[in-house]
Amino acid sequence: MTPPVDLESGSSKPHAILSLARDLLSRIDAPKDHWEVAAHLEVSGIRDADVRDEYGCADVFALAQEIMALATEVTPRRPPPAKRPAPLLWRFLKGYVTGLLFAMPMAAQTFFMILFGYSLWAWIEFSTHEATAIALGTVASFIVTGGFTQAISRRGMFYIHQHEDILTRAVSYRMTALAVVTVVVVGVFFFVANLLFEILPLQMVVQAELYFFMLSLLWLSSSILYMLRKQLLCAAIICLALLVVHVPILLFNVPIVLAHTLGLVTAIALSFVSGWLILTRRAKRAHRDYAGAALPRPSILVYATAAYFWYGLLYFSFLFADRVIAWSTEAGRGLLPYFIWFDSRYELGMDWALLCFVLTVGILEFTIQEFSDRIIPGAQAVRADDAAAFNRTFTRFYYWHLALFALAAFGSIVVSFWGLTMLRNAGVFPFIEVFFNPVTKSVFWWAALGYVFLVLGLFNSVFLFALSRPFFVLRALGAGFVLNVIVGFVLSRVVSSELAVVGLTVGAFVFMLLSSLYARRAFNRLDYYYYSAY
Amino acid sequence: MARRLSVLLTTEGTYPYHHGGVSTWCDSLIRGLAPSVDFTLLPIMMNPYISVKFDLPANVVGLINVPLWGTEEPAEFILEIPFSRVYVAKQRTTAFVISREFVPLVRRLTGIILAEKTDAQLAGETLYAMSRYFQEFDYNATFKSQLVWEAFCDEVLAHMAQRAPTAFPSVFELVEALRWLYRFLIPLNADPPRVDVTHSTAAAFCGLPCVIAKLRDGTPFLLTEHGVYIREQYLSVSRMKTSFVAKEFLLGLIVTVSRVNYHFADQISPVCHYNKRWEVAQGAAESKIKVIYNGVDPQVFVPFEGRRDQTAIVVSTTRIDPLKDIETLIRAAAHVYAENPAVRFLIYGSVPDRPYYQQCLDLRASLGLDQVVSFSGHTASPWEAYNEGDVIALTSISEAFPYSVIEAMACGRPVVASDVGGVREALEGCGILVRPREPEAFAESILNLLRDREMRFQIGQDARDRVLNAFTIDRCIDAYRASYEELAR
Repeated sequence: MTPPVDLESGSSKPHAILSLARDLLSRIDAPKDHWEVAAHLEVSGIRDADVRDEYGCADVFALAQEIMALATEVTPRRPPPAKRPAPLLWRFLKGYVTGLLFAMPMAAQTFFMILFGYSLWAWIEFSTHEATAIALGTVASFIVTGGFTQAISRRGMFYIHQHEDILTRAVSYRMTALAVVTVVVVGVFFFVANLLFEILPLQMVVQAELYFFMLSLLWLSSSILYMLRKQLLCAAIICLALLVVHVPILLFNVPIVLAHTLGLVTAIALSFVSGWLILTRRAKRAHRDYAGAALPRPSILVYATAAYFWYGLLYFSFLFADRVIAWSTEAGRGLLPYFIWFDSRYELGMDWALLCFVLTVGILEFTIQEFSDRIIPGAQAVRADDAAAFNRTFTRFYYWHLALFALAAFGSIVVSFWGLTMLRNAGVFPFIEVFFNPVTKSVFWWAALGYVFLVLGLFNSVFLFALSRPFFVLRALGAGFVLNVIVGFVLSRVVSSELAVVGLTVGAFVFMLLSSLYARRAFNRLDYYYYSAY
Repeated sequence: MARRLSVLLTTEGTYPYHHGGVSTWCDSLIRGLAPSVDFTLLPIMMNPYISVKFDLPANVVGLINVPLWGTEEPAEFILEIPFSRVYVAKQRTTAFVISREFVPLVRRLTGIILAEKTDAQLAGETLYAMSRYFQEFDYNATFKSQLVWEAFCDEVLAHMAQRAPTAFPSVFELVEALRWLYRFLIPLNADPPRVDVTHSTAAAFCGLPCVIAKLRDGTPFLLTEHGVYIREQYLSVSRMKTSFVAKEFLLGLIVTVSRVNYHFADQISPVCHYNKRWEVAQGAAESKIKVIYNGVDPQVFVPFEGRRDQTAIVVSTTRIDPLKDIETLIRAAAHVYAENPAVRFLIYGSVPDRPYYQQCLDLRASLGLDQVVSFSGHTASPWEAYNEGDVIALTSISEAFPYSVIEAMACGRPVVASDVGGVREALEGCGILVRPREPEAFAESILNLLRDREMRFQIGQDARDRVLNAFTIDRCIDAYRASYEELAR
């Protein structure tokens, strides 16, 4: 490498200084000033006494000034050129498959449901009593644990990124314990409330509580594995649990509730044990210096995770609001025996539409990986006085990916409808016929559109989370939730129960619209949003 | 009865969270002054996850931790600040407040950091004004506001407008620079307690609370420098794989803070006269400088009587680090071994730099010295290590006032050391000084000592006398007690 110094002939400096300067400046690149040179001279073992004898200077500082004067042209150090990225198609496939792993448990459930008529906690032949109870337990489990699972992931990842394995374990345990206590309190509260006010028959409540507890524990244990980026393990556990449900039914014709319990307990146990093993192994490897590590004060911990907690709570409330609204009205259904009454036609339409979500969500991983890979080289490549060019580049990136994502999302509706229709036409799976009633199909179309809007909103949210702007997401999702409830409630009461799904679609559209506006705002001033995202 | 003094002792990356020379010094100082001084510690830490490495003495009455990294809210671990105050401050921090109160300060500070010459008075006042601002308004909300980002960019770009295209900052460099400012100014959040004297253990960011106390209450500020912080940071930043503009900004910030320390300190106490050179060159008034040498406990570091066998042993207690130039010691060992095959070299010290350690092992093997030179790791009882040696050697190319030299002297052992930093101030007249990086000269001096038992004994005796007269821990502590009392008067 050529040193950034003019040491050519004609210099009046003594040869010893020129030689020293050549050596030193080739090692330290462009020095900021002569103090930097002096520091390097001193740690090379050069002392004031040597300088006087060998270089004819008063002291090390004077010699440093002589050398600095020789650095006639500054050739600032620039970061080495980025490594050539892998081909786009490969990056896309890698990201998509990784993203799909997130949705794998959900996908496995849906496919199992379509193929066999039951899954880890559902069964197509449940009586409406049973289905109502299980639906209540399921919805409650998602809503009660949703905030905790987000908070655990967020704070756990914060420590994982800093290689603070002891604190990752501590925060996971503490928040999971708090979540379990909350689940128990909520469960006991509703049980006692039902005893006092006799809202639902005891048998229904017991069944609802059983599924509520088991599913809550499953979400909490899985969230630790997701935090540890063990999506494959998580998917494998769910598939294994599905087999644990399937085999006893197939071989011994055991009752479905018992099979579900066996499967769910297996999944919970395996998830908790594997999470505990991984966290403990990592914590044991941690440096002994960090043995005294402590979490921040609870007040700070709550404040730092609050936005993510509310996001989790709001997200699952948004996802299930339309179901609760649809099942709690008599419009178009006749008299309901209780305040809420499961409608399998509606649920099947929602499950079918969920395929759109599963097929699309994988692209999110690709997009966020691309964004992470490009942002630093992008910021390094643009002069600070032309930050607008940096912002334009990434705004284009955003729109390009949005278009790709929207295309895939709308395409997923076609694929979902066409796929199930093909299976029905093939006549291999008799259960499929139940999907093709007018209510289910209507719910499917609205819900599929709603899920497409929802994933587009999530697409925006991924950027907003990456730029540490959870409150933008909360505002957009909050507005969407309010619209979801209002529109769904009005239509389901005035017209027909299944039109509660329109609330989901309208709410998701509002979420998509507002989150797009926030994302556009962030990309228009990405220089600032990137700076403040730490 | 004399009034007990209260002292705020601020550290950076040392006591009580890390072992090492400065930490040992802090511990000795606090314990030595237990009868008359209460200390509040304010350690600046890299992250908040480290455990305390010392049993804190009873006269440590407070501990204010200030972690720079690993936190989302700077107040997370500064336990003196209740969360309710953090929350209220967040609500109070509006765009109007930031624009009116903080933006002018960040503009001014950025200008000072990038200027050719540091206006230390103005820099100190600006940092003080920022610290007052952060007592009322939120740190995160302020630093992460768009107003601050834009003001910072404007200021840097105006300063660099004339730069050549290759030396012009990128978006990334500005992002990095303001993020550094955010991290390094976190100590401004900690409102220092009201005490009689503040004492910083480096002319570094840990000195900022002392500057704040001085400007707020007129609290006298004592600054001790074990090394030279500016020089160490020049070297450290120079080795970072960062761009020129980022390096320029970071060094500008560090130099500004160091010079603010020198400007506002009432007494600057380097551990040797040698370090004065940098301090004066960086703006410290010579009249404020009062050297206080480190000291050792002569009851612990005592000469052992008698030796076991006829093997000639040369001991070195030093970190395995390029600055300690272990390679010169190994090369010197080769020369000594050629003359005296009975010789053994024992090197005690931790290994912070694994690649360098491997380099030393390779050199040892290539010189056929595997049986002659041994790396014995860190020792918890260095007095035993010194007493194992007939000669103690230190081949460093850079030092301030090394403990290893005065500890060996206290053990009555003859020391051969490179003539760098303040080593001469300890060793002149009672040890042998050698030009650094000259293995032959080291070998010659070691051989002379090994050959002459009487000379070894005499030099060792003189060295111990010198320690008893000038470098005991009691003398060092007395000097600090006197400084505290004088400053507090």
